[in-house]
Amino acid sequence: MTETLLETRELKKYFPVTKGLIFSRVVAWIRAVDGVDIRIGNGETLGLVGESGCGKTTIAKLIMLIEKPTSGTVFFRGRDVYSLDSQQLKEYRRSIQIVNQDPFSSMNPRLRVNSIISEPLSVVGFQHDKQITRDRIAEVLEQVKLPQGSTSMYPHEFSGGQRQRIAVARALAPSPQCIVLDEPVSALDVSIRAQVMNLLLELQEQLGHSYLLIAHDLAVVKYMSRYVGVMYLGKIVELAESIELYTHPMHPYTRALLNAVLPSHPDIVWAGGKLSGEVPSPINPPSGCRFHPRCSRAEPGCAEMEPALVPVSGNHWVACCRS
Amino acid sequence: MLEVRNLKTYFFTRHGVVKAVDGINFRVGDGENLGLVGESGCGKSVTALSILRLVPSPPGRILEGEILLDGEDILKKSEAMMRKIRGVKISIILQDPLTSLNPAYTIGDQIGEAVEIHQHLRGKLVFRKVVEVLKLVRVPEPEVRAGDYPHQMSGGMRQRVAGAIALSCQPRLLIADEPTTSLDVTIQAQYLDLLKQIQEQSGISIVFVTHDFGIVARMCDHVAVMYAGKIVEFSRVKEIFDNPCHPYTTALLKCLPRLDIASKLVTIEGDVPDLSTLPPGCSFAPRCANRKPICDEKYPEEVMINKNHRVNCWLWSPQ
Repeated sequence: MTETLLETRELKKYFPVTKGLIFSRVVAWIRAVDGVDIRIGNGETLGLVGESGCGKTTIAKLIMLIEKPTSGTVFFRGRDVYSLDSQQLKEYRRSIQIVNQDPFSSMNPRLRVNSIISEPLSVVGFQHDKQITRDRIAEVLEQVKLPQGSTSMYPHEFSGGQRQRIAVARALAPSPQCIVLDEPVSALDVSIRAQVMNLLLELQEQLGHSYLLIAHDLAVVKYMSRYVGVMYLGKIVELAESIELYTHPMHPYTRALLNAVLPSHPDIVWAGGKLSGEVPSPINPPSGCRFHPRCSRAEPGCAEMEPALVPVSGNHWVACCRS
Repeated sequence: MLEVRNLKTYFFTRHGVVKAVDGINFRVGDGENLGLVGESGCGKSVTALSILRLVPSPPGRILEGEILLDGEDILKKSEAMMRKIRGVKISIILQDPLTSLNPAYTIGDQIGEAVEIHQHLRGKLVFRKVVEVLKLVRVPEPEVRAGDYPHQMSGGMRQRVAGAIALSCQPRLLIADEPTTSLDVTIQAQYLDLLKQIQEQSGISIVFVTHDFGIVARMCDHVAVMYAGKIVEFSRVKEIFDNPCHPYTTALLKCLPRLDIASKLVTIEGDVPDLSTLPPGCSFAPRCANRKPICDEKYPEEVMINKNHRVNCWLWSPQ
């Protein structure tokens, strides 16, 4: 394990459910993220998988300081990011960048590519020197393999894959130490996905930044990450090194997810579809272990005690009473 | 049962003619499943809409070709006759149930509408039929859920309702246009299991329009790979996985990450072509690793690899 770059401790985010238009009052809380501890090492990739509504994107928003947590903190190089002064906050915002899912809606259609890429640079203080800014834009465009002539074009002139490259270039521009990838390829065409994934991996090799990869596709996460965390209803249920997790899944939910992946060849007998029911609402999550109503191995005790994420071997952590 | 011959559907727009479907041939047997695989913009959805004659016109128009359903060409039928085929003999499940269901009506009303029109049921019989089809697609507590509005249901349940509408009149052919793209993996698995079971009971044929080879491997008997409006390879499912012949199919199978193989992904360079400005030769040539001079000049003829396997590629051409 390398030195820790980013760490969350007991991170929680509850969103209020309100009733009434004028005298609105809170009637319930959506527990989007409910006590999550993750750590990302220097130059490493942590993948987060889970179904929609499990809180993956909320974690990204908390780390990006788009949302404030209900409780818990994020540490960046050992410092609590919620208590940074304005100068340090600027530096933090530079060090951490995001690539969003949909390259069609994540860019201002009225800006040219050079303005899109130079916008984060202005935060770092490049804006005073036009030549340095121009050089930096040329450099990142080369890194993402886009032609230099694209600087004066608008986003709509590019295809989906090229647009996602612009988004990567924008994230790279201020030389971040960590890039949050929120479903970076799921909006792209199948034949384009490999281009973008390989590009992201090559960039990491060259530049040594870390990734927090958020995706629902288990194969994408396996291909890109060193560590993988599986989320269910706002909690991490299993966390392990990628190879370990995919060869020895311990949590029943992880197993169910892996079983649900479609076969890669018609001869493979598919065990899928074993998991019944749907993800319950995060407003009133089930008591005890949140997975117990759908779990095939549930016991009466599972409804009472909430299992903690405990290490079972080396770097393999599981939150299940039965493992 | 269904046979499509030399189907051409073009869109006439201000920016030129878009050849969305450009001379495709395939057939689907009784109780068989066909997978139409391709990327966005390759014409697979337009093919699906053409079979139902639902292509928006203008700008779209089916220029030529035949669509034979049980030997009868449905392109020659009048619109009134077509209404008796849609929903009764052929029906469709669309990708996103949130946009294909009407938010202002309960799901019971929406399933009931199809039943009233096609089966001429009235009153209590309609409700009984609605409950019956909801049971068929395994919606729990069907009597209660029939009174729900689409927004009150989860994505998986909504897609089941869309399936219920499509199946309510026992069609012989179901077209499933990306039926699981908007669903989570575990829900997708449940939904595909359900379709398989329904098929075993009723013996209907399903055409899966998808970009996911996993669905093809799991559900289909035959597969047609589409690229830029044309079918570039057609074969039995097992064969396409064991012996893909078209360079596009080969690359498509290798460019997706898999759980069982950890090798580096092959990338297909370039981008999906613009259908209004296609090159004169093979449309895949600009991205192809095995490109020859002739590829840029002429579109390759169909080559039969064996009885059930055909490919359009100069690599396999005897010339």
